[in-house]
Amino acid sequence: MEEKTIYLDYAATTPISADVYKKMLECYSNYNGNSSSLYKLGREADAVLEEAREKVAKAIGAEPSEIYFTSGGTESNNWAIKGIARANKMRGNHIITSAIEHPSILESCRELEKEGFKVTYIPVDENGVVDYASIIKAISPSTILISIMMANNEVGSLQPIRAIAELAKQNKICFHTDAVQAIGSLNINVKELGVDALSISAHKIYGPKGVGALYIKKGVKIEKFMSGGRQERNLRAGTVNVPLCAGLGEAIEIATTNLDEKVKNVRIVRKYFQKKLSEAIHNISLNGHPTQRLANNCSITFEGAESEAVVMMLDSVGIYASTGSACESGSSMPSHVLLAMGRDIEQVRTTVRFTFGEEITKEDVDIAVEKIRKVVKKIRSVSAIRIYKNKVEL
Amino acid sequence: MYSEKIMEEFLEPKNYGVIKGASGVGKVVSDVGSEIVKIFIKVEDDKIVDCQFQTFGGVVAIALSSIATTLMKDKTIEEVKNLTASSILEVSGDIPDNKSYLVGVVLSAMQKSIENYQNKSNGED
Repeated sequence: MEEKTIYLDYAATTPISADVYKKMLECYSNYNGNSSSLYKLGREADAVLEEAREKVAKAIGAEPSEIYFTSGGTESNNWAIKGIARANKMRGNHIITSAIEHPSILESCRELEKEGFKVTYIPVDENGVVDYASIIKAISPSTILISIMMANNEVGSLQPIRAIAELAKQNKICFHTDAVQAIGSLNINVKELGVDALSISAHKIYGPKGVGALYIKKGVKIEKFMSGGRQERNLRAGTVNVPLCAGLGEAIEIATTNLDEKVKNVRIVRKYFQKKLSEAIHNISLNGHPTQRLANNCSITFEGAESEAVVMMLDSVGIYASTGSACESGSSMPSHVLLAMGRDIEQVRTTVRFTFGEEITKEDVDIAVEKIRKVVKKIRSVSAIRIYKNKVEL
Repeated sequence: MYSEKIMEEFLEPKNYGVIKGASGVGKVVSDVGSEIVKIFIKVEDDKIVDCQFQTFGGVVAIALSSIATTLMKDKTIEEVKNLTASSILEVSGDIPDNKSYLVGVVLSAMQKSIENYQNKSNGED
């Protein structure tokens, strides 16, 4: 009998839900017109597109006219950072972000630094939460943009977004948040939160890859992302991919319906995993805030067991997890998030991220924990760092 | 991503563990990826009769440690001294560029274990 595989990397990507798939198939079958065309075929496609826009808007408490479809979270982040900074450079050249942002934010900031912008990277505490006081200190008359993620993708820590948004508002600074990991885990209302721009991705919420959205509050100055036709209110040129956008619309509607109940179930299973794992394996620790964290995230440090070795051996027994984040795997670079949290290089090199989805059951957890126990034991037996209960010997 | 041989040696590594009262021990910590490779040898009549490793590192570090210790076994000290990066790569097959430094790390742990044995034999340790 084939061994059951258990996917514990939902933060990397999720499968496409059956309803999303059905909606997209319907689009590919029936709505192949160009949504910008004036005739019936075009109008029909446009109607599907606008229905999707309404769904995205509704899910985050925005107006449909404030939603712009993009190719995904990375594009949304690139556009928000560079577009807002460049459009507001007459007012100042200072940007505030954090040390634990997604590479698409950090690299965009570095690009802007080359253009003469100044960027302050706010540190985080040992739980991976940005230091609010440092943001207050960093604000200057030349600050035009603050971008802080809603929840961290590697360790799951939630950030004090509401407070930062308020601070930005008081100082008339534009505030963007990367909500890619938070959508589907947290109730989000952009008006209540007071954010000016917010990034969304579909493939983290059972939607298709290659599509996302950027919420841009009415009145926020932003440069266009792509030049060409007048699609997306003349800010993002290019024929819109209607089936993908419809997939995002469907996915976000499903993700935000009965959200509390779904999140509660995921949290129960993730906590069960944490409990079982700590009973089965000694000298492990949880990264990220103990309570203020995404329900589905469990970042674990296994002392003495190198994470790539653990992940690859788990792969061989049908358990899928990741070292740090998928966006940075393949590189030899240690996680910038864990380093920013003050972890030493060995702790960083022994951290594995397990992230959960709605399909994972306690039975799956029991199977996974037993396999993880065996794998960690094996890797530790090979390791030059010897682990004894509560004692590490080099 | 990794060659079949690398995966095979990683999933079923040979010669891992310690040799108590080893004739020589070589330990190297990588500056690049902070891997730790420790090689233990037992020498009788100028020949390596046992060779074990302990490695803190990923797939390639573990696989290469397994390959290197297998290569060292039953060889004379002189023969081991003549082993090169190519000797390891001939067995392992291709290694991704960003992991190629590990060949050097494992090779230097091998040579350090020999040096340590020779220093001990010469009464310098």
